[in-house]
Amino acid sequence: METFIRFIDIWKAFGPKRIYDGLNLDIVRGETITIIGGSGTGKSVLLKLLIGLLTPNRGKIFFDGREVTGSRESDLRAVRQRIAMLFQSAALFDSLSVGDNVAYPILERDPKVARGELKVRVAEKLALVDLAGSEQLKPAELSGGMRKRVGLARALAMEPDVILYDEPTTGLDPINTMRVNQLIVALNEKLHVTSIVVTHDMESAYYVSDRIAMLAHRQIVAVGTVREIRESTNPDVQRFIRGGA
Amino acid sequence: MTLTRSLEQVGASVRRMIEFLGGTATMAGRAVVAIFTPPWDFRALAYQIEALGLKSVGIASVTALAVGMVMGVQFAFGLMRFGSVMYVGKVVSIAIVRELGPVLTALMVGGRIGSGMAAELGSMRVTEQLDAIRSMGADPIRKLVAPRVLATLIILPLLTILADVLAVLGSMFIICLEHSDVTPAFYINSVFETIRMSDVISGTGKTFFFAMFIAIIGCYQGFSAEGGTEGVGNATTRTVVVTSTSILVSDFFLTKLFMAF
Repeated sequence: METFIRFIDIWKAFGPKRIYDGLNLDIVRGETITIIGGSGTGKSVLLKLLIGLLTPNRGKIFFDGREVTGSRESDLRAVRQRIAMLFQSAALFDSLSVGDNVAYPILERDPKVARGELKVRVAEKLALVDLAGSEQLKPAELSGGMRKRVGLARALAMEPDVILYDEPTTGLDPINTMRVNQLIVALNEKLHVTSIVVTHDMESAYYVSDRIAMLAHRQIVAVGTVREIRESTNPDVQRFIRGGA
Repeated sequence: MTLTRSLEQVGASVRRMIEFLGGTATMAGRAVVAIFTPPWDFRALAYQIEALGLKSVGIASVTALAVGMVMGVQFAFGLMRFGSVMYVGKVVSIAIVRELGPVLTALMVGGRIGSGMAAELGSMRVTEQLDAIRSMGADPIRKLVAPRVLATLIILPLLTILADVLAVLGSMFIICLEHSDVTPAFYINSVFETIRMSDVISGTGKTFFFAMFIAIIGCYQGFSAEGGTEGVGNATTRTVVVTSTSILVSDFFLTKLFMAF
């Protein structure tokens, strides 16, 4: 199994608040790995470090054999065009319609794309997330679940090798939660992408993951398949998955 | 203990000031590079010219007319003591073209568009939209800052020229209305006799610097907004304060600079 993404001895702090003290994690190509952990443990920070939105104080991050840490902004752009991120708030551009939001990364990559082709590709991505025909809507007209799915369609429009999901089901009702979970699994099967999901929703984690990594005490304290994590004897893991104090 | 705390506060203020100066200078440099290098987004530029420029015509016009009329009334009142009402056009026009037109337009329009930029970009920052742009491999400076800076550089000098004309017409209207011995033709003639090209260049030239301050400070404060809606509100307030202060302080130095040429 080929290691696709590596976090090696990552140290990160925001002022006096330490987030990671020597975190290590390897991610295999094509897998769906879920990072679990309590609020404020730095789950989302891990995703932002990977695409260079944040930089570690120490340590190295490799993506497909290439070091990301210390790269210039211009070099990071090439990496970012292979990694799509679904933000916690979906981060849709309020001033643009749903269609223009999804078209944004396509135009960013190929500004001269033909209008007809662009339209087809946008419709195709929206259909993948069950939102066909919603091109003209504005983000303000969408429900929370729809916003997440448009965010996902925009991420897919980049035709990425990796999709990062930051709390994809937070704030959604059970039906929309299941819908998003099913989408994550279906997209992984259909597009063979590597997925990193950050969540504290254990039902979602069990549903979508090939492996689960537990973040606690500023490090990854356990990594394993869903079964291994369920049966883990690590007290941090057991306390978290059972919701104990 | 108190001395230590005071020194810490001074140190923190100095650090914030250095961060601000470094951050705005870096942003200005990157925006200028983006303005002069392709690809150019003419659609975004046109949108910003409309949003920042056309929608500021009203506020710039009302301010200019009101200031022109007040200046006319005050100078007529003062010069009447020396029997020199006929010189009102000369005095008012030179004051407006060299100083009041550029500075008041920059203050009024700057307050409007600078705070608008800080609020819009600040909202984008706290809702992760700026991160989303970067995560898609795009450059937020090129996408968001460069069109705003260029649009401000285009519209502020034009609005200033419009304000100069309206202020002069406003003062003419009130003088001719209240003093029958001053005709519109005489007034206009005295304005054209007085105003030289160097006055127009000095007044309008300053607005390019003011435009840069307004756009860069507004964008920088928006990009630095933190802490949800409260952070956006603080960024907007800071923009108005810092922009106004920068315009007023730099005006003195710019006036001396343009006088040297």
